[in-house]
Amino acid sequence: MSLLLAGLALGLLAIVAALASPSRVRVALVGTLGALAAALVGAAAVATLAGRTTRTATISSLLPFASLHLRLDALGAAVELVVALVAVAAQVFAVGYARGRLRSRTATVLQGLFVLALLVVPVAGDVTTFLFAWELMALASLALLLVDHERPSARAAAVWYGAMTQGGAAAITLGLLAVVRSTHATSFAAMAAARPGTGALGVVAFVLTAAGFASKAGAVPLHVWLPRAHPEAPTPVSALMSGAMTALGLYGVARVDLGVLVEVGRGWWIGLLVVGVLSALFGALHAVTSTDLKRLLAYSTIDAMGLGLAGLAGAGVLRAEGRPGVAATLVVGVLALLLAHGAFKALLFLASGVVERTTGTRDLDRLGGLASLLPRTTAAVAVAAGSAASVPLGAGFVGEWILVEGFVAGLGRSAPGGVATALVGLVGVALTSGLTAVAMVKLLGVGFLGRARAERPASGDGEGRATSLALGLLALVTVGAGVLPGPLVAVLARAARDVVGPTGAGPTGSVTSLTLASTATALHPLGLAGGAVVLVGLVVLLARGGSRVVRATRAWACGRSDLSPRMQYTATSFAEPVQRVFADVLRPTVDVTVSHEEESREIESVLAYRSRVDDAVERALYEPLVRAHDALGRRARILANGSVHRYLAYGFVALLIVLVVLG
Amino acid sequence: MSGLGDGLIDLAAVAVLAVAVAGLWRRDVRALVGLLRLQGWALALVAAVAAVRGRDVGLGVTAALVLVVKAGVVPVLLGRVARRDPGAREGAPLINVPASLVIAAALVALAVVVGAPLHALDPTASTALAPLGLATVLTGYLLLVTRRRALSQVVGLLVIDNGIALTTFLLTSGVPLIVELGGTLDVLLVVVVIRALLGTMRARFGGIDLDGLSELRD
Repeated sequence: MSLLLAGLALGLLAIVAALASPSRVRVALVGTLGALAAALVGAAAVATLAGRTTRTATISSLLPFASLHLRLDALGAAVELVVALVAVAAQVFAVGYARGRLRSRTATVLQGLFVLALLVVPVAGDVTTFLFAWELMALASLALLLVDHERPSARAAAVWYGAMTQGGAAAITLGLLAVVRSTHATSFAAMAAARPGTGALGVVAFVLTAAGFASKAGAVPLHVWLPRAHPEAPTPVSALMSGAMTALGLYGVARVDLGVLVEVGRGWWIGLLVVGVLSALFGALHAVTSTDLKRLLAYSTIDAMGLGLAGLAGAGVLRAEGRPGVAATLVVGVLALLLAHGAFKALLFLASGVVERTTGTRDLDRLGGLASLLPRTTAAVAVAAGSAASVPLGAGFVGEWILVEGFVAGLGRSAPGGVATALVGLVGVALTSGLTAVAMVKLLGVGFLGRARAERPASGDGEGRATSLALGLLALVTVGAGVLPGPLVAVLARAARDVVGPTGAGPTGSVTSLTLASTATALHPLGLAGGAVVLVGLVVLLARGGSRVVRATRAWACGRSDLSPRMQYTATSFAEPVQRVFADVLRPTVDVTVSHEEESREIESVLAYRSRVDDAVERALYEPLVRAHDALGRRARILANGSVHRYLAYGFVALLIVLVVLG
Repeated sequence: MSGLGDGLIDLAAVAVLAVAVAGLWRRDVRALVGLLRLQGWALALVAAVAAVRGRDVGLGVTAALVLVVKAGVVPVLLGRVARRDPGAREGAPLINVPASLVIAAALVALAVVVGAPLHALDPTASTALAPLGLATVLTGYLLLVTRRRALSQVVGLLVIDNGIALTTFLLTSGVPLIVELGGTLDVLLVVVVIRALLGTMRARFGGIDLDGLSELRD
């Protein structure tokens, strides 16, 4: 616990340093202190996961009306690990990346505050502390979104984000109040011991908290803020939002809905599963069709969080069916997925910042040819994209594999409801993985490989030492967790027991292997890695032994030399087949403009193809809502006609009403 | 002393309310300022009697303060503003005089009903008068809402303030001196600010009729 407290104190110190230090050293100082703070908290999380002990602390003098209760158990530690990892990387990255407004005192203070709030949420031991940290996290990130407030798109994103996040926080607050009301306890441990969740109050609490947490995790239809806010936030902040903050949404579902409201009926969990699967598919489809780099990543966040939500909901269903072992497997899968997602998505967001700084654009249709310009970034992005596309030996594969195996295990020996649940989950995971792979191939192949599609500077000055260090750290974790998942899964299984209960025989792992008791399957990634190394070695050897004639030719030109960059796939054309297949769901707006030569109408001079995929949920659900709200606002202006007497009369009448009611 | 004190307080408190109601009836702005001065005298008398009865030096100072500010400085300042446009008469108020007198009667009844529990809390002779303070507040508010000229509205605001002061004197023998001092300063500030505002309005629009302001909304 002292490690955790030291880390949090250091985080506070970083904020003070941001306030007090001169602008010359501010970013470096605050970044270093913040990264150290997150590293200490991460170490505390590792110690808790390895040592099987739950630690608690109470800080009573920090807040005026309430004391902070911190509690670091295995579940909290598992999520804290994700947050700490992303926070370390983002803070280190910011040292090398921050320019202009991002170096200002306000921005650095807010960034320190945001990281501190993110670190406190998973260790909050009671409702007050949790809500305090949650709200601090929401407000700090909202303010950070407005660092670039001169851009109208950033302001619009802030309005959407502010409305959604405050609505979500209100729902969570009400839901938690309902739980407190029915259990007469405020600490999560005491609430779980009271086993609430029965009756109407339990259902209300479940629906409110699940909706609030799911909106933070970007579940459809509460996702609309995410594809706006994540691309508009400054790069380190978007990495924190996507890698860590959305994960806290799923943490909330695991902690409160799965961990506390244990008696809630199965049907509600099935509903949440459907929401999760739909979100995953929706996010993946939009990721495939997006051409803005950060927007693609934002939609891919929705898809990963949708899978996580589906996994947790599946665990809820299967536990209610009396299969705690399978439920524990699913929870472990989700936690592994969160860690993998935190690493690769933060990496991808940070890399997109480097790309934007270097080339001046995020439009994939204008990128390409970055491998020679930004070699280290491209290598890191390749690792992350592989992990996101669930290529074996990446961290993402481990999480998705456990999820799939968990759903497969749910198919056998379950009641019909459980089988249907598992089937929906299985299909969802499979289809989502496929679509995500397409999106990631597009990201890497079109955005980074190939040849440049637009003019750009000759040197990649965006690739500094600190930024590359941050990317390298995340890539290392991605590969490390993919090659040696055994120890990780062994400790995550402990966290799953915190949620599902001690009866759940979850997965077990050793250094070389990973075993799932529920389906009697095992994974030996170390052997796979060894085989891969041997195979690559053989190829190299064979190549050495073969012809020594070296021919220099253009890369990515299929051996030809007369290909122009315009002949390559663009992001739009690469996604076109998928867009065509899913046209009924996506409803793209396709616009083909043909203009003719002056002399002859038969010769076409320019052919422009534009395709746009708007968010169908936003169009169908939110636009009418916004319009109705707007109309109501205009209608309400009748009340304010500018007459002073009328305004005074409002006050007078209000006073009279109060007097009559009270008197 | 007690009999005389009770009589004086009764008389003064009723006078405060009566002056407020009279304000609804008079249209001449200068007459309104005169009524305000009268109300200040009555209010100061209430405070002074309460001070003598309670042997409370603080309350005595408050009474002096009330006399100086509410019966002296404020009416003088407002009188100067009123003299700038001679013949300044309130146009037809939003609600005509008989109707507003009927409404005032209803408000007094409401104040008596609503104020009854205040007397029940601490049944003394002076708390029995507390509804008069409440009625003065409501009447002042009515004056504020129905008058078209800015100066009359200032008078309405000051009547509200006097009503609040009367209520505190009757209920608790006055609030601590420092609070009274703060409240009085606020009133003085309001009068000064509104004086400046009215000067600007007259310079810009040539009058202080508030109906012209409705064009100014967004």
